Amino acid sequence: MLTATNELWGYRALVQNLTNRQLKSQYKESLFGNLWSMINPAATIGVYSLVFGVFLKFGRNIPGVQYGDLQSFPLYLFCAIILWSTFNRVAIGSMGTFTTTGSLLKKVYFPPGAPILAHALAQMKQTLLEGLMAMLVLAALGYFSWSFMLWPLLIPPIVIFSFGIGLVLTLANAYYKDVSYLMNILTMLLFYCTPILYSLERIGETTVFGVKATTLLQLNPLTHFVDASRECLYLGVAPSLTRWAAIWISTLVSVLLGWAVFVRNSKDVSEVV
Amino acid sequence: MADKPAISVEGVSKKFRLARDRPDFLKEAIKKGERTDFTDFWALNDVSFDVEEGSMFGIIGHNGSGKSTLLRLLANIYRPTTGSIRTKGRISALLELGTGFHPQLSGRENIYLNASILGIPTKVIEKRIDDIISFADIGEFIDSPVKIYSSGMKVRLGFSVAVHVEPEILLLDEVVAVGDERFKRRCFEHIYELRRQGVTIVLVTHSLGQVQSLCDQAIWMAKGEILEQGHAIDVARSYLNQVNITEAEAGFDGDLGDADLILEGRGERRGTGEITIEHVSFVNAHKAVTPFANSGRPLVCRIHYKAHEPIKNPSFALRFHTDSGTMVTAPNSRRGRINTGVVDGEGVIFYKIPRMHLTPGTYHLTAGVYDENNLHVFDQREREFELRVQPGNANDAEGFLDMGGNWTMPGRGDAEDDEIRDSEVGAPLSGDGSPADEAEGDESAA
Repeated sequence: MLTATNELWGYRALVQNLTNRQLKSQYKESLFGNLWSMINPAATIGVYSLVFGVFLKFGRNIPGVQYGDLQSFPLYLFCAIILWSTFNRVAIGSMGTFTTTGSLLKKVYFPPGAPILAHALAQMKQTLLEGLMAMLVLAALGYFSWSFMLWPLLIPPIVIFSFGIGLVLTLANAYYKDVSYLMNILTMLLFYCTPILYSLERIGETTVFGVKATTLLQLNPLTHFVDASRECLYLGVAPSLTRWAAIWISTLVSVLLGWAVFVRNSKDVSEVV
Repeated sequence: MADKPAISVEGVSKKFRLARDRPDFLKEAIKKGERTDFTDFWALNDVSFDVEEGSMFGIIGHNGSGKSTLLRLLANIYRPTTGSIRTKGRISALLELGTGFHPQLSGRENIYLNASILGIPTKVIEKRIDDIISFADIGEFIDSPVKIYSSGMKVRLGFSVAVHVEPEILLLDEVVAVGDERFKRRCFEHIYELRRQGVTIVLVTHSLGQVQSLCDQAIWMAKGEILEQGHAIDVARSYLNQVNITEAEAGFDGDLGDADLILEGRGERRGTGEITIEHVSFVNAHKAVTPFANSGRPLVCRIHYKAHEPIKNPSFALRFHTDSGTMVTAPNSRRGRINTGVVDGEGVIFYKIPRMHLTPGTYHLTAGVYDENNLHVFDQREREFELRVQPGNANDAEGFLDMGGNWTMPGRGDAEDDEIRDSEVGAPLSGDGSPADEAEGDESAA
């Protein structure tokens, strides 16, 4: 595992170039170009706001909101969904990296983890952009908070956490194409099992098989990521140390485990991509 | 030669599970263990060989013989199922040109990307980028997206990157066979240059000419096994014999398999047929008929003809082509000032070469017979005959020709050398005593 890590480090120029390649070629030849990186999140917010904010009137009485009368469901949602979509782009999106660079693996040797890492790194830009967008809007509405400064600290852990999962998914998908179909379903489940459209407080005392639902949801590492993001931006408070600990522990477990599995099983991946 | 080989392959076998048996579905993976329906395919079977450092090594064989799998194993793309491969030095593999070009990025950006795929630090590339660009000969297009490049430009760019990254071992898979004649020649020049620098080169090819003229050692692979290994010329000869036998058995109408062997236009025959070229054979200094010539040694080319009616003073010609189709020389009996007289029936005419100036390699000969003005074609057989020049006692020259020159230094007692050294610029050139020929290259007149 150590040699594989060293090797990947030796190929850092490749990772860097692949990242650049992804960033540069993204949105190329489209009419709106980089504007799409703004349009996409805006559209997501629009759809969810319409359904949950307008039709279902989720916007009232958001629990724990400390900002006087800011009862904006779209913003409440946006501050959480930034990290969810980062996870989605990195972990789920990386399954596509072998279809684009797979033929390359057949022609020249390089560490197969490199394109996955490059894919993960390339997603940081979009996350940062969306975060800045949220901060700008909040500040413009007069809700600036010093906790904004803490928010960028969430980017490395969410990317590394998702990268760890992405490694395993990408590898598994190279061998069994079912994985990507299966993930379509699991992603949907995971989305609703993460407090993005709602907050944990809303669930109350519901129990599942005798266990409190909130406890179950807190076992989902993504809960801590999106809550921390929401705390930093929307609620204007610093996430608790327990939260940071949960975030970093799940990050390290994900990346170490994911990398170990990947290194052990990726040696013949050039034959199947 | 270093004692330790640059590449050492020991008892390597490679097993693939056939594509249809790959468990594409979890279902199959789950019932693993009870699967009886899959077959293993051994692409390579107990292959062992060494490649000396700084040498050029050829791998030949039919399609599907395991050549490319072997190259991929050498390039570390696949892992051997059993056995081991040890390599010394940095490997650059060129298995397919245009590897990893991103169509939307510019040529320059792709150079960096491509080089980093080959594991080269950006700093090294920055130093060499001008060389790469100028070798690729793409001009102003270098900053345009690669997708607008012609296929030739992509090929040139890919080759240029692969050979400029200072490899210690270069693996080439037939790629040198692409591109136009000019680029091909530059590729070969560059390959020679790399060889001179001590780069170890492994070449997988269908072109026996390339193997014979470029490689020191070669292996012939069939069905994943080494059929023969040894000196490149011998291996290529055995392989060619095998191909010939197979073709003869197939009655010439089957799949030629290695169609690449036959260059375009080769074997074409035209003419009105009053005289026909029956055969071309070669006789060496020991008066023995041979398919081989030795560099620096005499050789007689015999053109066996058959005149079906009396023809007055026909002209016979030979044309020597390299393996890549370039014509090296084209002697003919008319320019040779020989009066062939009236010919009728079977006969033979000689073209005597006092000293073979061609460098080692395979040459294809066109033999033809024309009327006395070289205007009408009686019979012409395009590149139908083969002459293999082997290294003789002469120095091994590179390129097509060994001009037979000698190297001397003045001031060592030879009065003529001293005279040459002291020659003045602009001094009138004097002939060497022989009658001036057709006023050709008469520079003193200028």
